[in-house]
Amino acid sequence: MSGDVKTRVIIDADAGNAIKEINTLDAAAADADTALKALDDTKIVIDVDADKLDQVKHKADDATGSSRAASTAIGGIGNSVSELPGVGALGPLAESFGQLTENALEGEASIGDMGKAIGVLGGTAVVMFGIQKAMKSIAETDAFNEEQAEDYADAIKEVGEGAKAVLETLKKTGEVTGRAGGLFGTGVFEGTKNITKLLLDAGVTADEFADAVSKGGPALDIVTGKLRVMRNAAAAVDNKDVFDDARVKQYDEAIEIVTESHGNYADAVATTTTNQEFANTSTRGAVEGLEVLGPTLDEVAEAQERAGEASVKMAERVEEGMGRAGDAADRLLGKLDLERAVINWNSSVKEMADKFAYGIASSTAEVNSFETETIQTLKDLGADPATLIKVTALFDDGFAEEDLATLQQILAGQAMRNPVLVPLRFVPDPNQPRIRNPVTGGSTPTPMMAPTNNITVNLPRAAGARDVTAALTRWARVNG
Amino acid sequence: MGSTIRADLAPVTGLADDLAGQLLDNMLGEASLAIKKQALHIGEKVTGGDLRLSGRKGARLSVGYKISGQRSTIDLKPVGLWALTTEGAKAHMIGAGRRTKKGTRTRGPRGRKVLKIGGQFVTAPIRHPGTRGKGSLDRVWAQVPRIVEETFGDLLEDAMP
Repeated sequence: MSGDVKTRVIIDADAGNAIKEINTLDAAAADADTALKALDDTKIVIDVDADKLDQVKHKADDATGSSRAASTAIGGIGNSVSELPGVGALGPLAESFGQLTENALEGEASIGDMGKAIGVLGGTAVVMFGIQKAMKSIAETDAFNEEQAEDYADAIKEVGEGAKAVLETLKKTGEVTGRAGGLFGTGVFEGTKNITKLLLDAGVTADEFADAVSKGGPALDIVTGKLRVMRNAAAAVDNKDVFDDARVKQYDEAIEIVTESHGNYADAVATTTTNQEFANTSTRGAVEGLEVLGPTLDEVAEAQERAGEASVKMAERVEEGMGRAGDAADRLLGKLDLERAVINWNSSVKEMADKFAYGIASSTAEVNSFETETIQTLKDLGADPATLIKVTALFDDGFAEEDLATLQQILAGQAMRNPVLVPLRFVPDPNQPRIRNPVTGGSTPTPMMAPTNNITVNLPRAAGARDVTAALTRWARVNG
Repeated sequence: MGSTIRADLAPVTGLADDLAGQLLDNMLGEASLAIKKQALHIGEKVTGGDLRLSGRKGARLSVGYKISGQRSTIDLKPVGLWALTTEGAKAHMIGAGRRTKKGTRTRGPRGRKVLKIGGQFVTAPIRHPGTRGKGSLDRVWAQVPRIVEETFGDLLEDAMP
């Protein structure tokens, strides 16, 4: 029965492997940290490129600001003005005005505030509406009459006032103050109203006047010629009530005004050209800015690409490092389950403890090895059988730690609380008669009685006959 | 970079040195002692408290252990007594002698008081009816894994800052 009983527990704490795995995890963690550090360095490079990108962005904003405004103002507002109904009837004047509007807005462009540009457009539309209204009636007749002329003059005046309003608006922008002044500041039409009646009397049509102002040359000669005819007529007439010297002087002034108007118009055209050049310059600046921006953007793209590649490499390194850490952790899990240790210390240490091996002895022989070795040791030391019996009895009763003291006492020969029979060696009695051997002449003890063994009984002081009997009985039981 | 993975794992990796030193001895010592106490507690239950069987005067359930290196060996003794309290005993004769190799029977302790029943000694030979097993060893083995895990776990947990 007891042969199959397992009574030994072996706790085999394989700390060597655990320590090895822990060190592996530590090395893997160091690798992962190195990879993460490298990734952080890469982030710094990306940040630097981001700064460059910001700088480029500012450059781009500066460079594209004028072109953006130009595209909206010139293409949008300018076209809108030109397409207003009736503007075309003004001919070169309308064209000039439309161009002025565009250039004015071109000046506005640098502000980049479309709200103000729209305000300018609104003012221009009001002016154009007045012109349209006046020119509509003009278009219905080829010749000036007084009423039409007055209407025309009023319209021109409104245009002048409207244009001034536009200028005021533009002045607020601080950009086109000086440029548009050539047309309206000194006034192409400033004296128009004063000479309207003279032009009418001289038979000058609206087209002739417009051609004279805008084209000059023969057209201007026609108008000035008509006016000069009337002037000379006035000078030659004796009726001072009709044609007096003052009237002559007025015609002279009218001729001068028309001539100057053409000059002013030319200046305005020149200014317009300048403004157009300004717009072109701005556009070129924008283009150049974009051209400058191009390489920078390429650099940014390349830097971003490099940063991207570096990020990918670093990510791969991190992944690799983390993979190694993970592998190490997996290996460690076999002993200590550190994956959970990182997450939950309490549960993980239970897992760690569970990984330490323990076992149960497979046979009683293993259990009895101590007893066997002890007995053999005692025999080797020459212990007497009684001592061996006593020790064996201790083993049979279950040898525990506390039995060590008893064993030590036995070995010291101080544990004979009860009588113990000590078998002695056989010793021939020298007093017994010897029988001579006839052959050899030797002698042997005379076999008067069977050889006996002497038995010594060691008794404590208070022992009696019963103890002697008990000792002999015990001796007989052991020795048969 | 303030916190690192290595620093985060320091409470665990720091155990390497501890496991190579006193910590492991403490783990083995406490686990072995706890197993011994548990085994003796079970022994007291199956023997009525004195760790002895009535018929075997002086025989007492005991547990000893020895730690050597990374191993602790825990022995439950005497084997026969633990086996009796685990599996029980069949009906048998006491004091009837034993059968020799020659086929004869030794005399045995006839007339001796070999068993105490109800305060009265019974003289051999007697027919013992046998006893039921109480599964003492099985109960001990069932507790060993828990004791090792808890003891090791508590010490490892204490060792980690």
